[in-house]
Amino acid sequence: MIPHSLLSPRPALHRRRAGLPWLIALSLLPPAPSARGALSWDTLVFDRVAALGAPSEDFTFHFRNAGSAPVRIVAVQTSCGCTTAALAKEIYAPGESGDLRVTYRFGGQVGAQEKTVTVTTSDAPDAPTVLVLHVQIPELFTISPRLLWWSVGDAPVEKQADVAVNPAVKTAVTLAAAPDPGITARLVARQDGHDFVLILQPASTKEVLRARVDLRIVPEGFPAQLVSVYALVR
Amino acid sequence: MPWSASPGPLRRGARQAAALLLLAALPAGLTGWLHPRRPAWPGADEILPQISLADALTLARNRPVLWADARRPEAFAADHIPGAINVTEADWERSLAGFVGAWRPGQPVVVYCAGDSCDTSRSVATRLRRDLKVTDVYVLKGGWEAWLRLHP
Amino acid sequence: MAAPAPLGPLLHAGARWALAAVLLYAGGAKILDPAGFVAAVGNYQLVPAAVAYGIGLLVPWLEIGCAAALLARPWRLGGWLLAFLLGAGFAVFVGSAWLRGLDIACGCFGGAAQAPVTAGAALRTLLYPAVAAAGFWYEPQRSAGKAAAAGLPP
Repeated sequence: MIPHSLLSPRPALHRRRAGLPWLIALSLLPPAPSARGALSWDTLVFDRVAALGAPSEDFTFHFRNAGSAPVRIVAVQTSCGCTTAALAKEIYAPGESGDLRVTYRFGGQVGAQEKTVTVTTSDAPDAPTVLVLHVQIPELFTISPRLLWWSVGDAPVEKQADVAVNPAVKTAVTLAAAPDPGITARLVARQDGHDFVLILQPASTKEVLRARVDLRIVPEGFPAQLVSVYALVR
Repeated sequence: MPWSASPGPLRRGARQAAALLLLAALPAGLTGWLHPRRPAWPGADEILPQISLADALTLARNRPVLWADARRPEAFAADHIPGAINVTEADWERSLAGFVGAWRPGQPVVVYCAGDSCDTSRSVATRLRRDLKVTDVYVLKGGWEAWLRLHP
Repeated sequence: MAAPAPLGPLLHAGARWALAAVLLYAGGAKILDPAGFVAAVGNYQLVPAAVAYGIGLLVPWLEIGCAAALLARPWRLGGWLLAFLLGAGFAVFVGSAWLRGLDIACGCFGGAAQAPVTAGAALRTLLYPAVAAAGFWYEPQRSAGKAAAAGLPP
């Protein structure tokens, strides 16, 4: 089948215009880009959910020198002091493999966390490789907000904090003791059977007040915790 | 003129381009889900507002600002921005008590760590927003290093 | 200026193949390192992170699809138009970086390739949409549509 473009009659004006601009356009197409870094990484991103109560998580980034020259790992920098990285050695011959072992110590961190490890190599000092850790650190409970406040002169209405408990763990939540004077506290269980609502109300908002209410939280299989919720009249 | 005002080719081209866009969506989604070098999902802390030291100081001239030092207690003890409180996730309950003691409702908070390469300031700022539902929280661009450049 | 009659369509086809080759290469290079490309898009500081994420994942496949469309006869119009849109979008990014004096890797052929944003790169980037627009302008496929609408054989 003869291509349509060669058969169709073209208007004379069209024919005259076609040549030179195309030549210019084609001659200015860009040259090939520069080479990529020599280290080939098995994976650049880890997505994990940590075990409940675990203090840290270990990751291993496996890499291989896919280039034709030895590569020296010049620098490894983590985004957080909580994340440490270790290498067996600095220089890798062509074809040689290695492991970058990363340990992420959670500290008090919770929830969705992203930490990065930036690896700079001798073959591409201006283009470091960024390794990413996505870790979901499960919590035994969350209380939000931890601080309820009223302005002096506001109506002393009730305000609430939501106590959400990890549904996988049977948890007992109680008011630890009578709250500080000047504030009343009620702990109400929610319909779903594991969450609570803490309702606080100041006796009066005529004066500045700083009060604390302690909750005793006992998750099954984990140590009991005393957690404070604060009330401010300012 | 090779091209009259007919909308035919443009509409056909546009329809085809739209089809190509839809066709690209599936491999794009699979790439984001399965590719070993897939990009990080843009997390909520991307919307965390950053503030330069100059802007923070300007802000502090009009309203009192609470400086939150997210570095380790040893670094904080050695030196910190005057008036700053130490807020770390490792010692969150105690940091929270200190925060409640120092913060006035409505007061903007500026969190800093060592510099731009640490992300503890972002982590602490996110936690403050989450646990306290405080909205006026900023991360200091340049961190403690920026302060030192201004006050050597 | 007068050009010999067969040269026009030949150059047109040549430009089509060349653009398809460049798009295939560019798309392929980006697919090898999606994270790098998303980072490169983010470095331009033109769009929010979520948009950069979407652009970063979609564009490489759009480029490959566009290359295929340019080489498949029924899809040529869409191919030219998409190539123009991709090229114009890219020109906006690279041009804005050059105007703002940003010192970032171009990301033209994937994130890791070190092609800094120079005046040359910015100008070169204007070329893609120009070639694509010209390709669409002179695409004989359009006459097929008009001829069919008029009831004439293509």
